Amino acid sequence: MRQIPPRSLQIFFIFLLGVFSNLAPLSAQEGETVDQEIQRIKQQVLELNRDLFVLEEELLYPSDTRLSVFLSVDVGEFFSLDAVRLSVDGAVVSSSLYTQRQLKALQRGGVQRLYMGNLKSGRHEVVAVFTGIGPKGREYKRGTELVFEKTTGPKNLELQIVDLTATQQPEFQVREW
Amino acid sequence: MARTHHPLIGTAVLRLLLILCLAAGTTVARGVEQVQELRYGVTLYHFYQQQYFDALTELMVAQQLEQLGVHADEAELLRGGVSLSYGMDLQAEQIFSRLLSDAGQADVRDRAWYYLAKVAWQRGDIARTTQALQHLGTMEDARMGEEVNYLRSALALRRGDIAGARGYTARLPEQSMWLPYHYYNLGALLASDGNWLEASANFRRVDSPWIDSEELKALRDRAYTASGFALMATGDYAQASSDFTRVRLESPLADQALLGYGWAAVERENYQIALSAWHTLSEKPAISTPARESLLAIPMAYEKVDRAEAALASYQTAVRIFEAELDSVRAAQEVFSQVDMLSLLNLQAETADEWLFGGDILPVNAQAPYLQQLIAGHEFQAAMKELRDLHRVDLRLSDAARRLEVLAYVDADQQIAWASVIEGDREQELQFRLHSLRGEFEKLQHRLARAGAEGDGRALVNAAQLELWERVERAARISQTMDTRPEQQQRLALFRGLLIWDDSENYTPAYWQATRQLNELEQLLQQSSDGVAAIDQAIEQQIGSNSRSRIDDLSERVETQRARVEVAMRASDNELRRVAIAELQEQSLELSRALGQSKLAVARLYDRGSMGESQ
Repeated sequence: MRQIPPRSLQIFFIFLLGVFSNLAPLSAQEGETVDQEIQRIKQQVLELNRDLFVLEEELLYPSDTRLSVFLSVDVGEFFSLDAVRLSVDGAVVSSSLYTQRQLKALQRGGVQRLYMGNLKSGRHEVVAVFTGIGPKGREYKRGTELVFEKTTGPKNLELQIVDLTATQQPEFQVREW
Repeated sequence: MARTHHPLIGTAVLRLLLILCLAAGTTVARGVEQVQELRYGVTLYHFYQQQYFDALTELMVAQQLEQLGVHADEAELLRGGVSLSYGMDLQAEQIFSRLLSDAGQADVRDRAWYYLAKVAWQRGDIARTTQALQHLGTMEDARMGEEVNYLRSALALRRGDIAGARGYTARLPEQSMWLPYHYYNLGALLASDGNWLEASANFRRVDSPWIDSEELKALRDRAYTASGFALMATGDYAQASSDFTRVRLESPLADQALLGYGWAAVERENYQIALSAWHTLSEKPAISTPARESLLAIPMAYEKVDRAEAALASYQTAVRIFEAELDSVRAAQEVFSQVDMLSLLNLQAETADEWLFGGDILPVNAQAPYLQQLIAGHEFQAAMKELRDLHRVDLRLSDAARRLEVLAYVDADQQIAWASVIEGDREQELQFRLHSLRGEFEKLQHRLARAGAEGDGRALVNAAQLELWERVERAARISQTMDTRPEQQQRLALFRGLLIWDDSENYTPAYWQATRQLNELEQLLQQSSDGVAAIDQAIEQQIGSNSRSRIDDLSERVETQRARVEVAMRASDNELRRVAIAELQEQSLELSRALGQSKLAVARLYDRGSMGESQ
């Protein structure tokens, strides 16, 4: 039997076996590989971020004055959301433009935290203006509003875009939690 | 008998099933989550956008604040699923081990361990892949079941257990997409043992008439190339040639096949065929290893057919190309030794933190083609993802440090404001004013009650009526000191009677009006009282507040983690750099060897030429 030219045989083996074994497992701590160390760091940074969020809420948005506004979409067949503008007592506090990815996340049951701020006790008004594409591909702009009483304790409002099958139209509403 | 289990866990399990399907991008009908707690919905919002860090943070905050309500059970399972997608398979494994032991959840449990096995396999962690596969029962999902059998057979082959591997693949259907992979792996194992004939037979079994996906076509190209080389080792050059020609021209393996095809022709002394193949190959960029190899093979073939001049010219061309290529590889080595891996491998790009289904990271730069094979490897991919994630964690920590600065500022500001409230007795002043107001209110309340009890209309008169009453009373006083005529006395009595009549008529509306105003006043007083109580509570909280120490503690944790991330990033960067440079050095060595070989051949041919002339 004749010999394969050695160089070609070498190439053959390189591509057959790959180069997976080139990466040596680094040892971070005793008995811990780098990927384990990285996973541990990720977990600890997540815990740190959690504690920071809790502290931020307590300090920046104390529960007695906190107002949070969320947005959800139920089905979203009759309305494709482009933008939302949110006003509290006449002042615009939040504007959002939506990417396809965000829209899909909403349509699959995700809830967006649109705004978090502080309000004193008493009567207040929120107004949300939605723009997008409505039934039959037409441009669509609708608003919804709610007058609510802010008492002690945090206040959560949910802006809901709901499909009304009977009328084949979207409906915009605000739910108080 | 139907098996029952806790309904919430049942729902949670179904949701995880859905999540794992969604994450897998399968064509399973995509259900919409019915969210009953806002924070759970916010978690899903981030998760569906592959923002795993944000999803996990939101979920963990909600868990800590106990704001998940009915979703509490499934939330922990969701955390396992998100952790898996975020490359935290150890965390996911712990969660799944804890929560998915119930036999009633077999399908979800199997899916969870299936994905854990996949991630471990991608990391090249054989022990954990084996361990994860041991948790699996009979998969309900046929597609996943096939892959599990394939993974088991691949593990058996790694142990050299061919019979065991065949046992697993015997369970695969005839047209399973995993069978070709198994035959390829088996061929590779046999080839590495020098069992060329059997290796070739298995490589050739990769080809099946039903292969239609690009992935399997690429595997088939690879298998025919491997089979060609294996057959060359057995001396069956005709069959080797035939196998090389089955590799598609557009395949990345075409260069290898063309090189092998040339060698097979040379072995059969068909030099023209070999030259034709290699000339085609030599026109390709010299970054391709087979193209470089052809530059040495061409003059060798010319020499075989006694065309020394053509051979000399080809060697000289090879010298030029090898020198240029050597410079490029050395420049690439220089770049890899100086530039950080994050920039070089383009790991700062805006992509998802995806581990499970994100596809490969394919850096685009001038040096990448030299490392094509290295970059395609699972472990290099995992190492790049680790460095990418560390970089993002580092950015998160920088952000956390900035947020903590803001919090420290706000906290200091609030401390000053509260100090003026607490120390400046502003709260006591408010309490005093509230107390006075309450006293005034009670007086009014008492007055109204008396008016109500006595039906005293005069007690409720308005300002105009009161003035009239004062005038009548003044006139009555004057009449007692002066001589007044009887008709004047009668007029005065008439006025008094009229006023009494008016008071009586106005009594009901006036009483109603006064009661309403008093109620409003009471509400206002209550609001003020609540406000002062809230201030009292806030003062109490402020006195007991440990926000300053919490900020300090978090700042310390940020610094600790940043130091650890820096160390881990350096280690990760160094390791990627080391492997990449080693690969480039290997190429550099090969090029130097080929260059030396070409130069020697040029010298040899010159020598032979001059000897011919002198004779």
